Amino acid sequence: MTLEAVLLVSAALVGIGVYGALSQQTFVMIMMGLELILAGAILAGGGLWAFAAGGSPKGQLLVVVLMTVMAVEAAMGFALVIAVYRVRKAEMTEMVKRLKR
Amino acid sequence: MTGPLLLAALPLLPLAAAAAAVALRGRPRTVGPAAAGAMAATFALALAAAAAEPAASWSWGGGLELRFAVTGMARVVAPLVPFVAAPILLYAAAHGEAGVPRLLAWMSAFVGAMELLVVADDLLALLIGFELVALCSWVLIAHDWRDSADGRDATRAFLTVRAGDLGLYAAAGLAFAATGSFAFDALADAPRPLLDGVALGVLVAAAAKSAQLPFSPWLFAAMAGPTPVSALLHSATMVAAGAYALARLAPAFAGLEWFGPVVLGLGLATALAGAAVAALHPHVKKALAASTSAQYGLVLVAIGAGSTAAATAHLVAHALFKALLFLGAGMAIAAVGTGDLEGMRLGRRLPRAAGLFAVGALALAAVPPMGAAWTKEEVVKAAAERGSWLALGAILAGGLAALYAARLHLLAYGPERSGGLPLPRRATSHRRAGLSALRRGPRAGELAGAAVLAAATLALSALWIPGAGRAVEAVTGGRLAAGGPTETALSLAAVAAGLLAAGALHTRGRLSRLGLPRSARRAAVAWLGLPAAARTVVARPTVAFAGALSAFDDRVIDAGVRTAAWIGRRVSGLFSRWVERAVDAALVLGTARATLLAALASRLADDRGVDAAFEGTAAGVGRAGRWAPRAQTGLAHHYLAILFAGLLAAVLLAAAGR
Repeated sequence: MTLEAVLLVSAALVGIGVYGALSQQTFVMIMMGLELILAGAILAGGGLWAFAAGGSPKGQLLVVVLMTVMAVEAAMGFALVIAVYRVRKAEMTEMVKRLKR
Repeated sequence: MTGPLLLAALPLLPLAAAAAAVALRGRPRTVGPAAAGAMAATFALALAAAAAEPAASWSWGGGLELRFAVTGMARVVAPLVPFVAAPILLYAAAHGEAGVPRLLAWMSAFVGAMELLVVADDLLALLIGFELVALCSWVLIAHDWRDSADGRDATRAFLTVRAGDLGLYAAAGLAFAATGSFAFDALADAPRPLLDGVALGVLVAAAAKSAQLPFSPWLFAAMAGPTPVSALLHSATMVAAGAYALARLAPAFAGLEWFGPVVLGLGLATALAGAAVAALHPHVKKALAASTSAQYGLVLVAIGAGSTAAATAHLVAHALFKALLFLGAGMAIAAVGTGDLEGMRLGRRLPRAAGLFAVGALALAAVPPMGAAWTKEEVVKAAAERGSWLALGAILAGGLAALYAARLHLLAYGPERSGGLPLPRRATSHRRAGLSALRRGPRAGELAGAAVLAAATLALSALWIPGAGRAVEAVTGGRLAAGGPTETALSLAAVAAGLLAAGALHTRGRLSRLGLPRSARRAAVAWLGLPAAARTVVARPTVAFAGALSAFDDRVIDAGVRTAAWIGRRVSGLFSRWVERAVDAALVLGTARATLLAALASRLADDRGVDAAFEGTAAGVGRAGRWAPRAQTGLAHHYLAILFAGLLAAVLLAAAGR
C-alpha cells in the first residue's frame, strides 16, 4: 500500500460524496454525501499521517478532530432535517423555497 | 526833355489821361476838359518829338528788344493823332448820354496805343500797337453793350482785323528768321523769298486794318459804336494805322517788283468799289465808312506808286475832314434819332452844323482850294507816273468822291424840300407829319469840337502855297511826283462833273438812289456781296472744320478713353466677383459651415458617445442587479452546489499559488 493509493481512494470518496451532495434530492441523501466527503478527508489525513508525517501526533489529532466534526455535523444535520420535516412536511430539496427572499 | 523820356511820354500820357478819366468819373463835367487837355499836352509833346527826332530801345526780356523812333512819317502822324483826338473828346463829352467817363477813358487809352504804334520802329512794337489798337476798338464799338447788340458787331470787326493781323505775325516771324531782328532797318538785308513773305504779311495786315478789299465790310459793323468812336477810330486813326504801316515799310520793300503794282491795284479797286457803295448807301454813317475805305484806297494808290509823301499828306487831310464829317453826322443823328438819310435835310434847322459839315464835304469832294484837294491831286500825279489808265482810275474815284460828298451834304444838311415836288416813297413818318420838332439840337461842346476840326481842314489849304510840296517832302522824308497840268485839269473836271451830277439828281429828287434801280442800293448795302462771300468761303468752312474736329475728338479720341474706362470697369467687376466667390464663399461661408458641422458632430458625440456610455453603464448595472438575485433560488442543493464550486475554486487558487 502506497500513499498514492490511499490518496486515490480518499479522492474517490470525496468525489462520490460531492456527486452525491449535489445530485440527490432528498436531505438524507445529501447528508450521506457530506458524510462521504468527510470520510475521504479522514482517510487522506490518516494516510498522510501514516506515510509522510512519520508518526507525529499532529496527524492523529487531525483525524480525531475530523471524526468528531463528522459526527457532530451528521447529528446536527439530521436534527435540522427532522425539524424542517416536522414543520413543512418536506423531504425533498425543491419543496422548501423559503430561503429565497 | 531827353529823347527816351519824350518818346515814352507819347504813349504814356494818354494812358495817364485814361486813368484820370476813370478817377474823375464822379465829376462828369470835368472829365471832358481834362481828357481834351491831356490830348493837347500830348500834341505839344509830339510836336517837340517831331522836332527832336528821338530814338530809343527798350529791352523787354528774353532777348527781345523793342525799338521806338520818331522819324519820317511818324513826325507827321504822331502829332496828328492827339490833334484829332482832342476835339473829338470834347464832342464826346458833350454828346454822350451815359457812360461818358468810361468812353473818354477808353478813347484816351486808344490814343496812347495809337501813339505806341506810330512811334514803333520795329515789327514787334508795331504788332503790339496793332493788337492794342484792335482791342481798344473792340471795347469802344461795344460801348453801349447793355442797351444794344453791339457786342456782335464789335466782335465781327475785331475778328476781321485780328485775322488780318495774322499777316503781321507771319511777317514779324519771317523777318526775325531772315535777319535775326525785328527792326525796320534790318529788313533791307533780308533774302528775297523771306522778304516777299514779310511784305505779303504786312500788306494783308494793312489791308485788313485800313478796310481795303476784301476786308472792307468790317467797317460797316464798326459803325454800330458811338459816333465819337467812329470819328476817332474808324476814320482818322485806327484805319490809318494800316496805311501808315505800309507807308513806313514801303522803302524796305522797294526792291520787290510785285509790291508797288499790287498795292496800287488793291488801292484803286477799293477806291472805286468803296465809292460805288458810298454813293448808294442810305445810312449816313455807313456811307461815310465806305468813303473811308475808298479814300484809304487812294492812299494805297500813292504808296504803290512810290510817293509816300503824297500818301502821308492825304492821310492827314483825310483824318481831319473825315472826323469832321462824322461829328456832323453825329449831330444829325442825334437830331432826328436815326441815321437814315431819307429823313434828314437839316440845313435850315441846324445851320451851324450844316456849315461845318459843308466844310468837310468840300474837302471830301476835293474842291480847291481845300488842302484835301491838293493831296488828292498829288495822289493822281503819283498814279500818273505809273500809267495813264491808273491815273484815269484815280480821277474817276475822285469824281465819284465829289458825287457822294455832295449827296451826303445835300441829303443830310441840304435845304428842305419845296412844296411842289412829291415826297419820295420811302419817307419816314415824321416827314409825313410835316417835319416835326427835332429830338435835340447840337450842344456847345459838339459844335466846338467840330469847329476846331473845320478850322484845321481850312488851314490845310495852305498846302496850295507854292513850296509847300518841298516842305511836305522834307518833313515826311518822301517824294512827291511831278505831274503835268493834264491830270490836274481832268481831275478838276471830274470833280465838277460829280458835283453837277449830284445837283441835277437832287433837283429831280433822285439823289438818294442816284436814279438807279433798287437792286443797286441793295448791292451797296450788302457791300457788293463781300460779307456773304466771307461767310461762305471763310466762316462756314472754319466752323464745319471745327465741328469735324470736335466730332473726331468725341468719337475717336474719347473712344479710347471710354474703352479704357470700360476695361477698367470690367476688370474691377471680375475682380469683385472673384473676391466674392473665393473669399466670401470659401473663407466666410466655409468657416461658418465648418463651425456648424463641428457643433453638430459634438452634439452627436455627446448624444451617442457620452450619454450612451453613461446610460449603457447604468443599464448594465441595472441588468446585473436584476440578474444577480437569480442565484437566490431558495433551494438548498443549489446553494450547496455553489458552495462546492467556490471551494473548488479556492483549492485551485491555492494550488496555483504554490
